[in-house]
Amino acid sequence: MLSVENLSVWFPARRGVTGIFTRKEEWVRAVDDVSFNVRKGEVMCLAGESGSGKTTTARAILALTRAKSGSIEFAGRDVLSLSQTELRKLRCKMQIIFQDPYESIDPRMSVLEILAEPLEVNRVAGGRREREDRVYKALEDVRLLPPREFARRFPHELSGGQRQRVAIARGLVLQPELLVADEPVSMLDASIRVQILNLLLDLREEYDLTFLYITHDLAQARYIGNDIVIMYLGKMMESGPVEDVVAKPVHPYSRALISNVPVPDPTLKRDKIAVRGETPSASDVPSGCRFHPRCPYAEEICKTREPKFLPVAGNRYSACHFNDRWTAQTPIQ
Amino acid sequence: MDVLEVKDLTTHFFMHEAVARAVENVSFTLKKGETLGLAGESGCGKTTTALSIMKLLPPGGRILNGEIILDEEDLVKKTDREMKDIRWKKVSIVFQGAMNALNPVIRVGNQVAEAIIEKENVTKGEALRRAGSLFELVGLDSSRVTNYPHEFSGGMRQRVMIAMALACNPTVVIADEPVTALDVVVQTRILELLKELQRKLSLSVILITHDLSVIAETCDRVAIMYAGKIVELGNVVDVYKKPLHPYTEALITAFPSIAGEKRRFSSIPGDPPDLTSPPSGCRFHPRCPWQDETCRTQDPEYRSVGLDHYVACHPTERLRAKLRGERV
Repeated sequence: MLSVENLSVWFPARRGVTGIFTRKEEWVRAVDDVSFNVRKGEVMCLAGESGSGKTTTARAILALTRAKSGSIEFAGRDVLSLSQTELRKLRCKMQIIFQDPYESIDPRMSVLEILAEPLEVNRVAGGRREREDRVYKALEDVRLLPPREFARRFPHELSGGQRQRVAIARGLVLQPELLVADEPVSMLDASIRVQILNLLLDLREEYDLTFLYITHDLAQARYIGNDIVIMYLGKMMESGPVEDVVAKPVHPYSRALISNVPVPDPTLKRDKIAVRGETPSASDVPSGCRFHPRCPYAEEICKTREPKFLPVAGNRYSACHFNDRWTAQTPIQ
Repeated sequence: MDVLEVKDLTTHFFMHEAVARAVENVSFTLKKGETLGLAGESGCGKTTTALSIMKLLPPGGRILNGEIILDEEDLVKKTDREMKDIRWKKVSIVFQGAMNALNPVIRVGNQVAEAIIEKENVTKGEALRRAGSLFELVGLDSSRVTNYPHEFSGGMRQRVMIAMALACNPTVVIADEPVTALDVVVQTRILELLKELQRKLSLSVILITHDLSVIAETCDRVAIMYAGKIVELGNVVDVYKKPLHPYTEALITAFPSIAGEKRRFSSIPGDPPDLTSPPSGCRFHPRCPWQDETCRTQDPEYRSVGLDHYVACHPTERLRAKLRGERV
């Protein structure tokens, strides 16, 4: 359904005073050579810490951010070569849900207006009656019942969870095939979080929807996802079925990351892999493997040669010079 | 030995037209050298409890009832002036997001030294020297006292904030969401630092967080709050493995984890209540699958049900069966 190949998104770095004289081009390599496929009806998770490029990847897929190179194929069409008009049409088929439901919906509009807007802008559902019917249907889909009553309300009359349901309904009202969800539950409380995650899983069932789910929280990714791509500083480190990756990560970065995720069970004592330092800035990417300055197993080659993203088994890939060593230590399927 | 005892603390916020009953009849003790987790969702009163202990409530916030006993003294009765000698020296707080509150144009060492001079009668040189040793204590190079905040990463700034909280040797430290904005690898390091400091200085810590995983890994005991009240308190293993209150149970069994069996959770229906008009009876009853007439009308008593295990739930058949160790 969605195929991303060698996608790179570079932003020009703000140049300081010296930059004006040296005329040196500097780039923030926010996303570098990212490739993955999303099958119809699956939840693909893009996971990583802040600055890993997961949100930029998603924005590039929706053509909200210009890609520097690579190709994005969605529903058989090349997203990067489309005209504005064609793009607008295609965007009806891929919608996005943002993180903060307090910022993503206009507080001065009623729920009905918020949900009718995409229909008007894209000139689908001609008459007013038809538009309203589609709005009510979307509200039913997100279980805001009775829909006619919720349609009249304004955002300040809704709880955080209900607002996020409205944001999801806005994503659904155009009946898209792909829903990009960027940290959709990170601002919500634990009891509301599960409600929304379950709602997304139900919607996937009901409409055979495909999700690109962006999160920094691997526990969430495991709960909702089928496949996962773990990113670090704009690069893919590891990918594969979530359950397998979380149980037996291959790449030293994913191993460290997963070992450090706290678990809500005080009787479970897990060994945590220590990692030096913190994620460097994307404008100053380390040479060779980007993780090498922090990697506990880095060797000479890691400083100079960038590892390729290679298959390690089945549907699993990892970008480490020593993939064989890690798979030999913990045999994976 | 208890270093801090909070008894029947009630704090309300008086706003233009309404009163938010943010904290009601909250009681707990903090033992020497332990970490007590204060968990719950936003608006449940965990931060208000902490600010009540510090007597740093924002405008409109008032302690209406209760006692906060620290070193045999009741902080509730202390005047602002008297609190100045207690705050930071006996009890200090690492505020939520405080690592972003460092002044960007002042060297961090000076900011720490300033805090020391404010509280203790020492020279600037002495204060700077102490700032240096505090830096060492929290795992920063003492030479970095001359750096500016932008030269530090998020994790290092959080270390500076912890150093500041420890500047006047308090016995109790409250950490409000100390790792929330940090990446997991850095989270681990900060939490390990807190544990290490606690052992070294035999500190007593109150750790406030919405993240039950963080509590599971760092705390000895946990108090679960809901809508301004503690619904359950006990040692983490008891509370996580044999939760008694329906809210605790629902929250803990439906918290996504990267370990354990993968299954679909059932969620708690509805939303937490508005504290300007909390529900009658038990504040959780509108969302509770076990509610009955008593729950709708009577506020359950917060009582001891076992060795250092407290719960605020009516003694229904369900609770009695749970206490007998049966599965319900």
